[in-house]
Amino acid sequence: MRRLYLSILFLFFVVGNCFAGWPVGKGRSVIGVGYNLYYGTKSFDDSWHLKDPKDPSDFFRSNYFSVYLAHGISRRLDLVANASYQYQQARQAGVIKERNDFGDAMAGLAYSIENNDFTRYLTFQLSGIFPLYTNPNNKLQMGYGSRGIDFSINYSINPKYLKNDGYLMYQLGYRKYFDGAGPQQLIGDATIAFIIKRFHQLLFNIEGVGSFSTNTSSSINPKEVYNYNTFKFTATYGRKVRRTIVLYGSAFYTFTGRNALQGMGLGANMIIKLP
Amino acid sequence: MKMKGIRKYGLIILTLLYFQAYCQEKEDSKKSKTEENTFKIIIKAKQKESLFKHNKVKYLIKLVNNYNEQQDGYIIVEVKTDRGKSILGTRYDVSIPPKTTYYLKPKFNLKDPGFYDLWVTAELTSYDDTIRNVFGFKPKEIKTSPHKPADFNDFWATALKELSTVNPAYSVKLDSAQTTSSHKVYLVTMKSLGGVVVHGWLTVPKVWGFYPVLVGLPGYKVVLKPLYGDDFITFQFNIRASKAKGDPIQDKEWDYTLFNIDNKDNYIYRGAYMDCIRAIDFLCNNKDLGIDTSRIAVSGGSQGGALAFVTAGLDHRVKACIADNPIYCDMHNLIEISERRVPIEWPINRYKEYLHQSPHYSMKTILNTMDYYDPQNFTPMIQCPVLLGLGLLDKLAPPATIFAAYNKLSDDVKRNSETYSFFHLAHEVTTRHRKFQNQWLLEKLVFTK
Repeated sequence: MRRLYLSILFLFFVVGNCFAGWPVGKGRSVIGVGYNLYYGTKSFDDSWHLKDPKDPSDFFRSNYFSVYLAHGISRRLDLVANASYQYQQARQAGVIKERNDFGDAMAGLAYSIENNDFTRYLTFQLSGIFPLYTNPNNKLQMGYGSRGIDFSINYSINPKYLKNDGYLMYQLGYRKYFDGAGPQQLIGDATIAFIIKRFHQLLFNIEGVGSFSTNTSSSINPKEVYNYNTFKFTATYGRKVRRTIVLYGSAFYTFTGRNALQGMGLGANMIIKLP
Repeated sequence: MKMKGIRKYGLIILTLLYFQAYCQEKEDSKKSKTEENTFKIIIKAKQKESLFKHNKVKYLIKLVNNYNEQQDGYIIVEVKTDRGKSILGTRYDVSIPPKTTYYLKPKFNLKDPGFYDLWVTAELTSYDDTIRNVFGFKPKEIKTSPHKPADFNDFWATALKELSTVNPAYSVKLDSAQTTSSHKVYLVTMKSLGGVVVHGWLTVPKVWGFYPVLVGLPGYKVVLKPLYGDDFITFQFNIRASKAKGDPIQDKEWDYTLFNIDNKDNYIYRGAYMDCIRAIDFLCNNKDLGIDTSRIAVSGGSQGGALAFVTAGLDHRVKACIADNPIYCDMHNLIEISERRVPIEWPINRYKEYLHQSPHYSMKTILNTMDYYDPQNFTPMIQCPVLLGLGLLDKLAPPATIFAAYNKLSDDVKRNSETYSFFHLAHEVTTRHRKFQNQWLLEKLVFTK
């Protein structure tokens, strides 16, 4: 989700045909609000094979509401933060559970350097992860319930061969949850964006997550799985609708994985830049 | 099995990375050229932007011998003032073996703030050349006499009052030929001082919103065309002297800089400066076009830079000012600097021709008029942040004259202002700087309300 926001943030300014606007810009702010519907029934087993659920009526569904804030402290340094609220439902082995609560929040700093003509950016981001919930027994987990740290490097380029300011973006991240069984995660993704028309764009993203932990249990709830791999494809369409507002619609699909739910879903996001 | 899945999809990401790297390499390979049998002199100031803040001026001169034979001879490094007076010099006798690079590290001690020429002369076996480089020494301490006439403020107050009596008769017509799927383009005409009709192109993004406005002001004899911005409404404004249909001055060969230069009350720039104020009037009277009138910026290069200084000085509705290589600054020194160069640069060469044809006038006559129009007399009145860009090799607008004007900004304004100097450029700025202007503008217009 955070990466989607990063993509969106970058896109926002690409749409504005103003690479100088990335990062956010001193004294400026970007606020994002989003909704994602995530749904899955089938799972990938430990051998990367897709399996039907044991009970055909098993499913996991999440309604995920999020808020994102980025504020330009200086021309290169941004304060970034996000938080989420989720409504989750899961049915497994005939038992239905549901829960609504806050999810993990993240807050940190992003520092960007650009090349000589503002066509390439390298961004380093360091964030803390703070769970805004607890995980009582017999309730659906909202996350790992552990504090953690996240470090990512993002490289964005606006090559000439992608017309109309299209761009490529690569990101590599490492995340560590401090809880004893809390996983360590490696996250990599690649995005290609096409500006199909002024103020309209289309982007495609592949994201891979490797999560490693001594806890190798399985669950239909992705928040309860510590040791897994997923590869997800996302297609996003964005359109600038006001001087300060861009709307995005996206669809995503987990096309392979290990010990993971085959999730799919839809997302809608709105990014507002201030002023 | 695990690894198989990772490999498969990792491969997709690697393919994307490879695709990018391949395309990049292809671009780079086009640029690479054979440099056999050449000699290169690379001059690098040991200070950012070639602007030295301390007494020691240091350079690194790289002599690259790509010949297959040894290069014997000498290199002379000489420092001259911007008036051409030689003040320091060193001779280096050199023998540079084939295919090697030789370094010189000249150092100079200077006292007086200003801009200096660094001349590097090479007399070698297969190569001789003379290269000019320019550096600044404590440029922000350059202080010059403003030569501001005693009645300067009254003079412009009268002009503004006179302008306010002219019915602007704004006309805004959609130009369907230049309107696009993303922007509406309007031809805006209005009456300015003396009833002269001036025009500009207002380009408004179709995406709804209240937009900051960037007013583009023209270079000398330049006719601005619509500019399609996404974060701004742009108003590409042409002053009365622009060569456009309907303008009173149509003679392409004639330098309007001389028009009534012997009479401060009728000099063409009196009207031209007021035209710019009228452009701001228009914007402030047409909010319904989506204009955020609290966020108006002016921008221009060369004559446009001078107009930007003047407009921001006279009209405080302007909240940010971008000036690149502004001309007409510090006219007294500009004349002194230009007269000592061969050939004498515009506009001084035109003044000389004019005086030759009008022997009853002198340079003092011209300066008596120009003192009312010199941008350095407007900069103390500016209240908004300024972004200044300049090429150090510029002969039309020598850097010393530009800094003379910039340094007259108030201390408060200077704290929010920035200068960028380009040692390798003359009357231009870099593409990067143009892109940076967008960033700067968005940043400065944040706090205008």
